[in-house]
Amino acid sequence: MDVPATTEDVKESAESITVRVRDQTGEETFFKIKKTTKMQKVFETYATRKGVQVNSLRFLLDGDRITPDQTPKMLELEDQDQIDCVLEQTGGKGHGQIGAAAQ
Amino acid sequence: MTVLERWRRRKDQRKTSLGRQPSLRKGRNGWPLLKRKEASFRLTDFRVRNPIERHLQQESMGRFNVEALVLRAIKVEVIDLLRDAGGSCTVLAMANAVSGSPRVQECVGDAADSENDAWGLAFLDLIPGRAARKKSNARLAKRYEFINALHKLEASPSSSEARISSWEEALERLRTVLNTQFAEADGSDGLSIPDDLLEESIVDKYLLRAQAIKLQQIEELEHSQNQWLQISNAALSQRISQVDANQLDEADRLMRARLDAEYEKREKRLQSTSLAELEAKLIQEERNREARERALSLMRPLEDAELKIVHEAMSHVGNPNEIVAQAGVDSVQRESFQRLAPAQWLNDEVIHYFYVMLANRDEELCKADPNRKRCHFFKSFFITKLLDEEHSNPSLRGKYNYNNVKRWSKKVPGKDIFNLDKIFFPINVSRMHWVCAVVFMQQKKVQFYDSMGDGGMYHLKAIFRYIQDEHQAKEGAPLPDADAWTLVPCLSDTPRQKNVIVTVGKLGTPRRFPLAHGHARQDGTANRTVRECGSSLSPLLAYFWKVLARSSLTTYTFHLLIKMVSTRRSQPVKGPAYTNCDKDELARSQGTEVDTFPSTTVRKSDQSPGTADSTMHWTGAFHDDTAIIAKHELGPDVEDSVVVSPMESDSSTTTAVHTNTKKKVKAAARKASAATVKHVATTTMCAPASPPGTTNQTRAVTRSKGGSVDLFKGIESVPVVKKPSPKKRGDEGGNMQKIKLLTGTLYLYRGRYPRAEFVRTK
Repeated sequence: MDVPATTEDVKESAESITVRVRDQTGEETFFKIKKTTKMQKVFETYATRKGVQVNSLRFLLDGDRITPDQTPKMLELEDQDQIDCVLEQTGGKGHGQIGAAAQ
Repeated sequence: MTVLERWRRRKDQRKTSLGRQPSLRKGRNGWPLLKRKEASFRLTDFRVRNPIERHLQQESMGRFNVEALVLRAIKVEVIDLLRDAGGSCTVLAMANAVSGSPRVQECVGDAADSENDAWGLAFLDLIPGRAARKKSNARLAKRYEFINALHKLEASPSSSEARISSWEEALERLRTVLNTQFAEADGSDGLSIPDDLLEESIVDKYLLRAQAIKLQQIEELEHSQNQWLQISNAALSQRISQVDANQLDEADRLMRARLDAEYEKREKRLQSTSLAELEAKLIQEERNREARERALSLMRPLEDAELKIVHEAMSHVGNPNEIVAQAGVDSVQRESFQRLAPAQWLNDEVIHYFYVMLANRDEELCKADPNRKRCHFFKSFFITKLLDEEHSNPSLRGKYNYNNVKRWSKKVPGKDIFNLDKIFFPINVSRMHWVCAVVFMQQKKVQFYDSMGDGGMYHLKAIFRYIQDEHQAKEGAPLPDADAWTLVPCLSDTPRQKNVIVTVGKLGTPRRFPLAHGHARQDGTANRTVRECGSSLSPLLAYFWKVLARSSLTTYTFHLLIKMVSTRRSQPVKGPAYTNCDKDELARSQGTEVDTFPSTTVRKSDQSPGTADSTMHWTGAFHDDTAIIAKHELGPDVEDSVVVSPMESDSSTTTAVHTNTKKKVKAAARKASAATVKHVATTTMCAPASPPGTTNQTRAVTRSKGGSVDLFKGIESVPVVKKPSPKKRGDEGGNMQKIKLLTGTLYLYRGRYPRAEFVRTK
């Protein structure tokens, strides 16, 4: 794996932006990403750090879901923009879900 | 005397005693009283316990006394037998027939009774119990006696050869065993049998008699019935004659008048509903019918190719993250898609996808009809965010927060929610239930739809407040006609689901009630159940296994409770301080967070938005405090991307903690920067698998709340993928004690996870 040198990174930082991932508890995590990086990278890093599966998280920008393939450029993300992260929601209230409830 | 001698002597004594003769003491009846062992095999000889047998033994010597009635019965039997056998039969057959004949036996029994009567014991059968038993025993004894006597006749050597051809011969034989003196002395009456009786079959005779009796009974019955009918008829005619014809007319007239009044009332009521209303109703019905038809037209059987796709998505094993359906930015993963199987709960992806479909349809409809206004479908996370349902700070949790969703209306068609027709809010209640609220913008109405029938005023109020705030923010003025708006709770015509949850009451009895319903709250059962869950897991498990063994109904409850318990465990640490289900603590926490425990979806419909609602954390690591503490504990060695909470909390104590920890974090970060280069090599190893050749562009940056100081700006720090440390488990900061030792530091934790940890200093 290549490790970019510090000097290069400083140059790149002009293009990169910082996004805030705010989870439902109000906690914010900051990611500094390039505008061309796929959001999948952010999702996976975030999920791993939180210790949850990435498919149980939903990332929203102004109420719309962000797909893993999108990039900040496509989303027109600006510096310090906020991304909401919420957990998967389930419901049914029926007799089902026995297996799922035990999980 | 030695021990050996003594033993020998005793042995000899025993020998002599065995050889001793049994004592021959005289018993009550003059019989020698023998030792039980010797007497046992002879016991039957002299001690007959059964009274019948005893009686037989005593009487067996003499001949059986036959009375006239018995003899007559025997005669009838013998003559019958002779006729059937064709004139002659063996003695054996005769004796057999006589002893086996129930009629004769009955007569013998009656004879015993008559004996009893002679002794003045006629009342015996009136007395229950022992006396009656005595009587029946006497009857039985007599019969045995009789049978025994005839057995002697049967057992006589010539019984199978000697033949008899007439009653006289038979009587001659019978006299050898039966004493007929009494019968003969009784007179010739006893033996004379009318010829007509002998001619026809006895059985037929009996049958005829039974028929005659029955006929007589029937006749009597008919007679009595006729009599009764006559009497009642007479009484009726008498009464009718008494009632005046005029009175009957009066009653009829009154009844008619009353009916007319009823009809008039109904007509008036029908007229009172205005024509316009009726028209609207008809139009609505027509629309519903059209909608149903249109929906039905969409329902077509899937083609084979489509079926294959569905089958592949539903039942094939594959990557659960694989996207099986996509529309725009919304997608459904395989795992979510499989939730469409029966008896599964739906998740947000499925619900939202359906809403996307509706939105697309709405768009098409609007294109076709320019006068039609657009609808908007928010995500269920809108309410989650609007009410901050899962905020880490309990004082902010469940509180209305407009800022969280301020920007969400950007995605609304036309960017103006006030120019819409309807706005749909799918709502997830406590991760257990899906409900829906709809804002009818043109009708100025917010309505709630819940298949469990909850009122939903809590959500309605919040949504209405959002509309007001939105107007204030976007138009710069308060909502002009706020008074004209109506909040409609769930109406009775909202479709309901029938599969409700079963939970366990206080005593482990399964109780069935919809959890979302208000009435369940009244007895506090749900709360109690949940609180009991909060105490500890293991006894609860044992308890519910017991319950499970008894009823299968509770299977679901069990899982539900497990879920609740697990939820309780992962509650944020900073909640009301109760770790065990202490009564005092519960009492103290009454009315605070406990009342609206996350898993209790029970909510009063008039609950204010101020009280906390559902909060479910998946891991304790989500909590900001714990993360920071963990960081602090781990020291500068951990090259983790530090998480700093912005901390919007108002409580002074927590902010104090934070400023304190932040300093430490900064210090740690400074150290870390020096150590970064050293650690880069190791950390990249654990980084998420990125394709080779691409640079790691994802960087985590530590920031403090207020300033925009990027501590790590320009520093190469690759995000470290680190498994959540076990130390990150929730700890109350105050319950940790630090003891500095020579080689390291000992951390003692009290609280929920009491443990001791030793960190060696380097």
